[in-house]
Amino acid sequence: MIIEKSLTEGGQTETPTEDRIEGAASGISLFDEAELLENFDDDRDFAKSILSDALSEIPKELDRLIESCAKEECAAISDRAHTIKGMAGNLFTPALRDIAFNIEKAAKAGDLELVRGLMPEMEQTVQLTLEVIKAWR
Amino acid sequence: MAVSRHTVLIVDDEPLSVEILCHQLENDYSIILAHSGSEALELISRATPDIILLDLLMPEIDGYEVYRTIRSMPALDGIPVLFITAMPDLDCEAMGLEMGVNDYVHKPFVADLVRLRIKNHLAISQERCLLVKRSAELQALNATLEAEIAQRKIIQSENEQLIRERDATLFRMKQLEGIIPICMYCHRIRDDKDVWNQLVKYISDHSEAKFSHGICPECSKIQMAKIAKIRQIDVPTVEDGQGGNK
Repeated sequence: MIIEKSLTEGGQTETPTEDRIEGAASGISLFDEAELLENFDDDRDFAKSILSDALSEIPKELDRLIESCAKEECAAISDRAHTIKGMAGNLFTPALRDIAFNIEKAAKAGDLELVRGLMPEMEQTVQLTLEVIKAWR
Repeated sequence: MAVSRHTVLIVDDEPLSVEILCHQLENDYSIILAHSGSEALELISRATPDIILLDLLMPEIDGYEVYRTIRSMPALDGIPVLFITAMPDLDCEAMGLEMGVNDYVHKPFVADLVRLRIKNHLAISQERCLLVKRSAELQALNATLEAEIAQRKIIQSENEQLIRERDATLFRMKQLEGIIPICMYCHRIRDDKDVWNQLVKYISDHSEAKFSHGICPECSKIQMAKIAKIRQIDVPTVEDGQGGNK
């Protein structure tokens, strides 16, 4: 089952509904459960344990990212976004990984305006991802 | 029977990565964890792991700095280091490879790939160790051979010198040189063993000269005179009935 995030035309993210989960033909996957389980040798208990830890670790990293944004420290923003990107990769949460990667690139380029523009999407994606993870557990 | 397992040092400050890697590797390897670059360096100074998985982005000392330090430590020469990185991170990957890092493990960690990379790099590392060991053995053998050759050259040189000395001695032995005591009457010569030798014998023994026997004109005259005199005495005349020349 792939749970997907839909983006409105204005780039606003909406909370996924059952329809979107089952029927969305486009959009970015929020959480790829099948990949996660396959990668953990179908060890569901371990997957739950990892996701449980993710529920506490992702918000911490997001807070650090927000803090770095507030200080307008591009290097720190890039590092924090890089960390979130890695976490998201390991959790098979592609939407979170992609937005983190976009922020990392913007920060590396020194484009704080773009970073600021991407941050609301980042926060929403984190929120949605955590909700999906909680629901899956 | 207990099988000795390879030790993997995982250096990463990100708990989820550490947890996942441990889960993927703990059945096959002994795991050591370091949550920072400085902790990793401290652990390494106490025990050498067989392979290191090193995250790049860490506070204080980043992965690159840890890697440089590791590579400056002779005791860790040849220990494979694999950088942990998030995909896609091509710049970072190129930089690491230029620095000489053995390989990368990418997030998300795909269990089979991580295990295979570690297995392969451990195999390469073992082969390398074997090569280094054999190379050292060959160098030692080579050094022994070189020493032996040098010794033989010395011996050969000494032999050549001895041969030269022997030849010179032989040559000298065959030379008539110095003051040779000779009897003023019979002309025999006294040798180094205080034996009086005939002149001919002495010269034969102490030189390459060979003698043929002839007669010189003076001696020929003397001898002919002697012969003639003897004939005059010994040969009876016709008158006394015994025949002979006068």
